Amino acid sequence: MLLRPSETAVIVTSLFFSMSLSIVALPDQVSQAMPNLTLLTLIYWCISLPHKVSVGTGWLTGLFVDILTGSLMGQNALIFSLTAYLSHHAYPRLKHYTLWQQSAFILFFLITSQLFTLWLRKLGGHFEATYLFWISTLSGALFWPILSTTLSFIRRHYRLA
Amino acid sequence: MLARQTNQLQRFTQALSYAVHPILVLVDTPSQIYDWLSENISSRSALLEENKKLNTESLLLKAKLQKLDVIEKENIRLHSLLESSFTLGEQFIAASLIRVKLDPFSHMVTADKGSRYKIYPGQAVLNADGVIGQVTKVLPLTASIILITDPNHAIPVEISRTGLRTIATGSGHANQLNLPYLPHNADIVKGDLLITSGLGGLYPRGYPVAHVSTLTPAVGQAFMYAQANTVAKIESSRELLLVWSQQQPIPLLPKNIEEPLAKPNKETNNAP
Repeated sequence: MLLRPSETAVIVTSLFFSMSLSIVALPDQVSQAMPNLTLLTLIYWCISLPHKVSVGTGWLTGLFVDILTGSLMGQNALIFSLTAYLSHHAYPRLKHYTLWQQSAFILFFLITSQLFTLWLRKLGGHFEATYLFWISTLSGALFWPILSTTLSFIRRHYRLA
Repeated sequence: MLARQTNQLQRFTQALSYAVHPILVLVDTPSQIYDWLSENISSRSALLEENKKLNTESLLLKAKLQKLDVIEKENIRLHSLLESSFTLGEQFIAASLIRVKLDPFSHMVTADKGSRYKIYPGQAVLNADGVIGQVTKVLPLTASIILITDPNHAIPVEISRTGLRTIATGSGHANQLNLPYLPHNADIVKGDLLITSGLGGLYPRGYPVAHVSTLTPAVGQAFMYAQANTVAKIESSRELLLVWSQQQPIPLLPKNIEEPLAKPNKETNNAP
């Protein structure tokens, strides 16, 4: 019999793992076009375990990302809770879509969150949104099937609801 | 939620920073292991050669330092004759970079020393070649450093050849600065060395910053367009030096000359 970790442990581990992946030092261009992995992971858990993960978890995760990246306190907390709200709101439909249809929805979520990021960062000082800034939403949507499959494999492996 | 950039949240942030510190360590581990391996696997002859090179370098530097000591004493004496104060002898602490990229859209790096080593925001950061940036945020275990190439950063500089003072802002590109406030008749040529002017009090005076690379007189504009390449290349080394420059100036020597010397005409370049 496998040792079964609790749902919370799996969720927290996956979020922390995605956070650490997102701060790996890469060349400028690559890291600007990289999808926001933490946000994608959060969206996944919001859709698949909606009774467990929602706006509160999003806010906490965003707060941790804020402290990790040293950005304005609450900037990511706001964006993450907003995205969590959107995906939590849409989960009954999203659950039954195919992966690519989900991707289209995720693209919409990511663009919304990126618009908020742009707005908040313009408030904070000089910030130039290059095309790479928008490409990261597209790459996020393209990355979604991979991430979703990986995480659902993990979920089945640990037999989470 | 956003407006609370005051000190109220400081304790809270510091407490939470302990929670996220393992992530930084985890991400940095592969490069640490790589460094450790390359240190241990390098051959004996390579080590001997490096040792020899370092010995020669140390000898040269020591010889230069002997002379510098005399010059420094003389400088203090002359400054006291001019009745101007003089600061000297900044203290350094060495730190290493943690190889992470926290925010892809700004030029920030992370150092592995924080407020436990009495590091404070606004502290100037150098490496062996020149100025790198300044500390912006201090957490107990780490410190964020904004590079001089960040578009939100500006550094007061002077041209070492002529003493002309200006401001260099970050360009957002690696190792490149802009000089937006140069009038058309400014005495500046390609290749001029920019050093910190010490104005503003954050950066100590006299450290090399950049070499002027392009000069384009823009027709119809009030200022000319100039760019400079930084002396210190951030990607080249992992070691940093943090400077303590908030020091009291050395008190003036007691007056032992009855009549003050004639004041020279040119402006005094005393440190603030």
